[in-house]
Amino acid sequence: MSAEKQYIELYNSQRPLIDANAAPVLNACRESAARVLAEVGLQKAKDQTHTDPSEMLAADYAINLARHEVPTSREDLFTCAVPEMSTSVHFLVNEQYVGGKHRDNGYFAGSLREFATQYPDIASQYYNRLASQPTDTGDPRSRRYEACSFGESALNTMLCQDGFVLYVPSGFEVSKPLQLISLLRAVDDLMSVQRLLIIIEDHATASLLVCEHASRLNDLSHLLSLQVTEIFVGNAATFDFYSLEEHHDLCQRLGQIYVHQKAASNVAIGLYALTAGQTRNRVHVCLAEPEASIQLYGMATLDASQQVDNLTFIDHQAPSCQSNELFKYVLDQKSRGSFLGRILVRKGSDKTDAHQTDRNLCLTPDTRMIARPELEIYADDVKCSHGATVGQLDQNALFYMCTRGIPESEARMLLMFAFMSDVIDGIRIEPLKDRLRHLIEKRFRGELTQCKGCAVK
Amino acid sequence: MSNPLLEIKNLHASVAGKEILRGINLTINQGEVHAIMGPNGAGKSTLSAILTGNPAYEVTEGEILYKGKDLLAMKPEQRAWEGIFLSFQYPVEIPGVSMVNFMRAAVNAQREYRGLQPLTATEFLKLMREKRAVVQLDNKLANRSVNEGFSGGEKKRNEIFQMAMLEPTLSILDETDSGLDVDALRIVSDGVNRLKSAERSSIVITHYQKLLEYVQPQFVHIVYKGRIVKDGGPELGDRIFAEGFDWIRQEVEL
Repeated sequence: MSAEKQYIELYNSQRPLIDANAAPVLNACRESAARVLAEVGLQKAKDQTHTDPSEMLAADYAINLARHEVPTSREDLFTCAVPEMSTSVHFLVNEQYVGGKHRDNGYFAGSLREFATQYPDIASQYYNRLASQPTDTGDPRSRRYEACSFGESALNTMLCQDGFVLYVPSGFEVSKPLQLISLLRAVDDLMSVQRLLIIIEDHATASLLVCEHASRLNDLSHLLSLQVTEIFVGNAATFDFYSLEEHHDLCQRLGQIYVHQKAASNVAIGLYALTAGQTRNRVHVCLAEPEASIQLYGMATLDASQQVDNLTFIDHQAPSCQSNELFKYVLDQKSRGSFLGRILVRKGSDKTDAHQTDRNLCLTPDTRMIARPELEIYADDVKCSHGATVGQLDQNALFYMCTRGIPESEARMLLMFAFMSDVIDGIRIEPLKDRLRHLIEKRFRGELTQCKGCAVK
Repeated sequence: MSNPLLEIKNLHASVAGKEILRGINLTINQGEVHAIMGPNGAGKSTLSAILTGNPAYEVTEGEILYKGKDLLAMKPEQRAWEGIFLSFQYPVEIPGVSMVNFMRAAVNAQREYRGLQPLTATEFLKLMREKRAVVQLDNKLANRSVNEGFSGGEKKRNEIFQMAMLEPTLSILDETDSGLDVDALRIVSDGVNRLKSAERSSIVITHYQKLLEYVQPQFVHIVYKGRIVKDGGPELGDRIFAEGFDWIRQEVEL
């Protein structure tokens, strides 16, 4: 039986249980999601990335549909990795929001289930609006590649019961960055069906750091995080979203991030993978109205058999929008990575300013990196550029440093750190920038084993 | 009685399979300044690359003793700790690595090798300030990435600044004077002269008279086709500047 059939059967047999432990707004989307999944299936790796979602999802994972209480007390679990930001910390253990009832601060940050129950009107206006749409690529040739992950999103919608919501109403400014610690934790193979819904209304401002962690309770249990994140950013609103991943070798992550931007909105997305098992992020940014701007940054520091794939699609649908994309990988030992970045500038999107850079260091001959930049431009008056490189450390610089007495290992570390500096400098939250510099330095020194940042017990 | 610091014996070396050095013999005692001259392609820069352990060059024959130890067995960083310094002909730009971090890593690695505590941040910055003044290197440059966006003259002054920071026992100046205007040349030469002492030695590779006037080597060697073909005192340098290398070529080819 194919993986998708297995999940559809599960859904059909457990529907009452799933519904009972969720919210009507979430339940209303399941039927159509099941149909989509049956129709398009799960993505097979025909898109040149290393990961194959249908294969990842074929394993027999437990899913906590009955919403058994997660036997954890968050205070016992975490020591915060970014202490300067700890004023507003939220927790997800697997997909479940842990942290009690939401307090009214003028905005909502809390459980998806609670939000969908309390504010069904707002929730239904946004929930699954982006994830339920097949990506219109404007080009039938690449439709299959871009439509990929539609099935995974449908699978998430079909089974989703909880997650995290950030809702910032019109004109409100959330002054402190919010932090969401997302922890995978199970003694058996487990799939976490996780959902993030982020709504930043007109002229509102917020920033969110998501720390992706995983407990390694034994050497056997595989953890899969199936994530869908929908981000809506209103007129002249500002939103920063950073994902800091410190997964271990038994983790898999299949993430879809959808971003929809209205006029003059300003968004920064940063995907920082310090350690990973097998990760595949797909980011789809729709610049729907004029003068919207997106800064999409990503980084991966990989060794052993770690694997990170980033697939990005930036869709310039309106004039005078800006996109600035920068991805950097350092691959050591037998790690593998890919970056597939597509920028589409549609007809009429004049005055577009779009730039993409992808630079990668392969430190050993056993690493593999696939870099595929794609730029499609159907408007005349635009500024676009892209560059992709795969290379080694600069041997001349290495020798120069050694002649000054810097030991080779230290020189390599300094060069790798320098290589990553611009992708770190792009972070717009100062304490996070400092923290990440520190973590990356530790990572390159080999002092960062999984989940050291949060002292997960 | 003179103490040999560096003894090069019958050194043969090649790069990418091509033999460049064909039997160099050279002894440098403590406190001496030697100039090495020769036409382009004679092997002068290859010699400095070999002395600092550049992995692109292969020693095929011969040996080098430095303070009586086998230099060729040492890694480049170990040679630096032992007091060898090369002022590069083409200093390397290292984007993203600040001069401060670069120098601190270098100074503290050297101190660790010598069994000294690392400098505190205050001590280190004070040292940077002092040595920067020696070569009149702008504070702004010290805060930038190593050599990135430096002019040709600034790069060379930065080399001498690093030399002043590391206080080498054997400094090799590989065409440090090329591309310098007269003022910069004086600053660089002053920097070199300040380091002179009875224990320290220098090798100055140059094409120009001016630098030799400033640093005043006791010995001049002419390298031609991978060998030292003539040794002499300052008067040998004067003759090269007056007449060029043609008479050397004729002497050797005979």
